[in-house]
Amino acid sequence: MKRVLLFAMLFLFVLSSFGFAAPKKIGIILATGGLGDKSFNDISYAGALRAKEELGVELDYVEPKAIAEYEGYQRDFAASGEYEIIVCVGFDQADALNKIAQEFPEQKFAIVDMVVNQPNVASLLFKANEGGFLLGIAAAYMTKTGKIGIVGGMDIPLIRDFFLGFEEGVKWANTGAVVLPTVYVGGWADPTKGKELALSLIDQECDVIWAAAGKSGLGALEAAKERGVYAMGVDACQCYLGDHIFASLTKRVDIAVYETIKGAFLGTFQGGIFEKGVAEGWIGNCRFPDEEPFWEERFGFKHSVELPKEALEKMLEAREKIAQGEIRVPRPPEFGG
Amino acid sequence: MKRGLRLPLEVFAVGLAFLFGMLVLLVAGYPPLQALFALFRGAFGTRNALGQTLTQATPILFTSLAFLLGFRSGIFNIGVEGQFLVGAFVAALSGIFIRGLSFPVHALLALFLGGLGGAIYALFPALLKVYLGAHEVITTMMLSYVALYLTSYFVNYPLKAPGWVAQTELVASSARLPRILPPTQLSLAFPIAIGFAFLVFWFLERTVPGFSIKAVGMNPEASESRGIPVRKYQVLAFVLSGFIAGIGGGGEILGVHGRFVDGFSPGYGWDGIAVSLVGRLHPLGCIFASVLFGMLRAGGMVMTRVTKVPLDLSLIIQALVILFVAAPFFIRYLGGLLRRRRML
Repeated sequence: MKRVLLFAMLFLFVLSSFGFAAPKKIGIILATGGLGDKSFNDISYAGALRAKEELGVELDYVEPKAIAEYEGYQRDFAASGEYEIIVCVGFDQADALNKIAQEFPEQKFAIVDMVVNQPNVASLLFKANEGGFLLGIAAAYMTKTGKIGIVGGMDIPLIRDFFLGFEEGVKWANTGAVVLPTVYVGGWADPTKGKELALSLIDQECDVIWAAAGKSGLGALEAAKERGVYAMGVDACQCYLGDHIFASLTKRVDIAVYETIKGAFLGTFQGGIFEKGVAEGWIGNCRFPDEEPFWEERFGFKHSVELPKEALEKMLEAREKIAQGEIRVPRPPEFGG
Repeated sequence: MKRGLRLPLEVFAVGLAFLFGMLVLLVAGYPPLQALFALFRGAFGTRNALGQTLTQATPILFTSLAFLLGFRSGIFNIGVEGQFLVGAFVAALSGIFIRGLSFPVHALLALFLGGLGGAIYALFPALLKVYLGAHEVITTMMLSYVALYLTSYFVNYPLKAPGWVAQTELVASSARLPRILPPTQLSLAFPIAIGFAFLVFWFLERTVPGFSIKAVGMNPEASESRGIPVRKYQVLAFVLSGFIAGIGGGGEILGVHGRFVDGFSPGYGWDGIAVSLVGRLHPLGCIFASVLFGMLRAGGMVMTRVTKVPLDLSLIIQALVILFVAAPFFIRYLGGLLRRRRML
């Protein structure tokens, strides 16, 4: 019995080491949250899935459980030579990818939300400030007290980029609304503190709350629900979280991933930094008519708060103007603003 | 009670576990043979695969030895994870803040200090046990969480390196354990772990303290009456257990990551308990058991990629291995322990 088993295993092993020349595939390494996060991972995967269906190629994905596993997965994907392009989701893959991209200079990679300066890596970045601008307009129309509160995860350029655009959008809408000074949680995973900060903003008469603070932001959204005021979401459409959330800034990672994969298969792939915004459709808002069905279908819900018609018109107008270059949305100096 | 290495039975049990695992795959609608190829190819098929397997095996070899040493003295140190993390943290700090030493000295010192950190962390539950009678299962488990969140706090706030990831700065290059199978992540920590397995074997079988520890583990009352200071040897076993766990944590930091990354351990300490039992609580058995687990982890990664079998199914195979190998033995062992207690 034992010997038979051993031989069988050896046989299988030898057999399996013969490779077959197959058409190249899409590889995607998700961030540690894994699928089902209703955010980056799910949206990135949706983009890869669309590419798979349109190009008629295969798609392999993995869900690492720890940051330490990224390097192993990346090397495994790259060493197999089976992938036209390997998409790495999430900024925390950058360290590992910087190493692996040099080890496999012929392999095409893409990374979402971070820069890896290697010639074979496409770094996909988003002009969050433009999305903030559009969301600011919506907020300016929804507030009755004329005061809007914003909660940030950390006081870093990435987050200031959102808020600079947002404040500018509120001003541009010209409804007399003001944004109170930003409060920062000081961490991404502290919903309790996020909630406390949002409550203090509501105590100062804010009736629209926006948080860009990762998990800490969920606390802020909860605070708004508790006090019966409006809130807004970030990254993906978060309006499914509660009836009081009426709009979300959307980073269309799906579109960025889809376009990059398509480029790789069509032979137009280039390494480098690709920072795109409203004009290219990488940044948007879940209340735009062209996006709303996508999110509602994906997350299985209906937006319940009516957005004033005027607000939507203004947002669409601003989108047009930003795309045309008529409005220049400010950025922090670190991002070339 | 002789605990020899009865290899054939283990091999049979592992084979049986694989067979059942493939059955699970079949029922779940995945191609079982293809998945098995992928698993083996991903574990041993290439240089990269072999490196991955042994890299994954290294930390759990340390933690399984740590658990084993405690267990042999009758101590159920299930808080190996905590001592592992403290060791990792101390080793990282030693690598970052101690300057001016050259390569082998700095790396070995950092590793040793990591071990010392683990040992000191294990001293608390040891003293709580022998002097206050606080059961070590409770204290070590709770202290594991203390270590987890405390180290997490430090790398998220006071010691966080600039950037978005919760991690410390890199340790000095003189404190790094060199990679021995480039480009894979396999480092010098692996041979050190193997060395520790033989060291533990020698210690338990060939030295007086080792013998006393085993005697205390088998029958504390009889040992006491024969003049063996039970408390002393239980504390010693606990501290040595923490020391090995700490070295394991240090090896992971200095060998693989080069810095303390928040959440770098997916539960190596907890895995060590299972691996220790699969290795039949024998130091040399732990080597095979940890390589088996490393193989399942590394091969499982390739399996998910190639056959789209969820990683959870590879974890099911792991669980089956534990079930088939360890459970009957463990139950028998506990039964024997209870019977001896009743006789007293």
